[in-house]
Amino acid sequence: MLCRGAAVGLYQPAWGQVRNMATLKDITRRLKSIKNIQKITKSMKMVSAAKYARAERELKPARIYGTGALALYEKAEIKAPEDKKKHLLIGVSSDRGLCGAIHTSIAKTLKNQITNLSNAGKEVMVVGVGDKIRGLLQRTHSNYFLMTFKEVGRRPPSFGDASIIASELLNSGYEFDEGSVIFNRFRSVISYKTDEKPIFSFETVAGAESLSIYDDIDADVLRNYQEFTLANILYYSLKESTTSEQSARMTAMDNASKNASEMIDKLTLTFNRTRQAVITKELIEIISGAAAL
Amino acid sequence: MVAYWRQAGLSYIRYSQICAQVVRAAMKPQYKAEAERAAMATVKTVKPKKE
Repeated sequence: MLCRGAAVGLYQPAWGQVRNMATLKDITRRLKSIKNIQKITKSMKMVSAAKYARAERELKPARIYGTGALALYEKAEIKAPEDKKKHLLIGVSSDRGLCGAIHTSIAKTLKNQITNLSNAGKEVMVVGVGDKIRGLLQRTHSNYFLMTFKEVGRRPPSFGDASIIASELLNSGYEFDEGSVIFNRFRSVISYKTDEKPIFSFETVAGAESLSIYDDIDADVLRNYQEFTLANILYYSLKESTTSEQSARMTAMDNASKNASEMIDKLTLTFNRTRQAVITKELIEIISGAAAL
Repeated sequence: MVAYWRQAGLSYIRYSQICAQVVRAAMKPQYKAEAERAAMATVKTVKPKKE
């Protein structure tokens, strides 16, 4: 290193950039704490694996609710007219962290949508299902928030949860013309994708031309269907989101455990090296002391 | 031809919640416990404070 410094012509001060060799006690302390962390992340992975198995089992019948509710919108090709002003964004996530990119992907999509819709001149309001969404968007977009829902993610979601959310939305007084639910759709154990499903207001659906091909539709039936569809879509997105979250947490905790094992291996090697160095130093002192006699 | 519950001011969601509660109350005890557990709703609303 001395010759390299001389070749470049740099002046390396002798008192800067020198790190003391870590003592045995420091390394022992660090090793103990990393071992504890590894135990914790391993147990979190087991817990998430169990919750994931249950969530995936409950997702199968829930998908039928969701796809059934959305089928009318797709088959009748209902689209909101372009001049409608009021938009509603529902971001579905949860309260708890340590699950990888679940919350940040939803927040990123929400931020992009808010910017796009505001630039197009529409009025946007955001509803966050799960405290993390509120936390991520609070700094910059707090005036867009209509309401937040918490205590999501502790227990598996039920249709009752979706009904409560849907009722609060309908009673909130914000008469949206069009909206979308943004959630993480579960694809497999290792992959999920942020997806967006539309929700329409009563007037949009009633005004769609293709609705005339359906039999026995009057305003009352349509209104009932709208309200029920909202609850259905929220239930579907909650179920998908929970499954994605548990699988992501499983992966994240697995990676953390692996990283901790690597660190433990490296630290054990430095520990042994340091121990041998200490022993060698003591031997040298003893021998040189004995040689002086 | 508005439904009676709509006239009373209920939404369809509230109507189906009440119907489901009645069905659960009418179940036999061992099925009732399962149904009650499955139907537990825990979500709470947080309204942002208006300054």
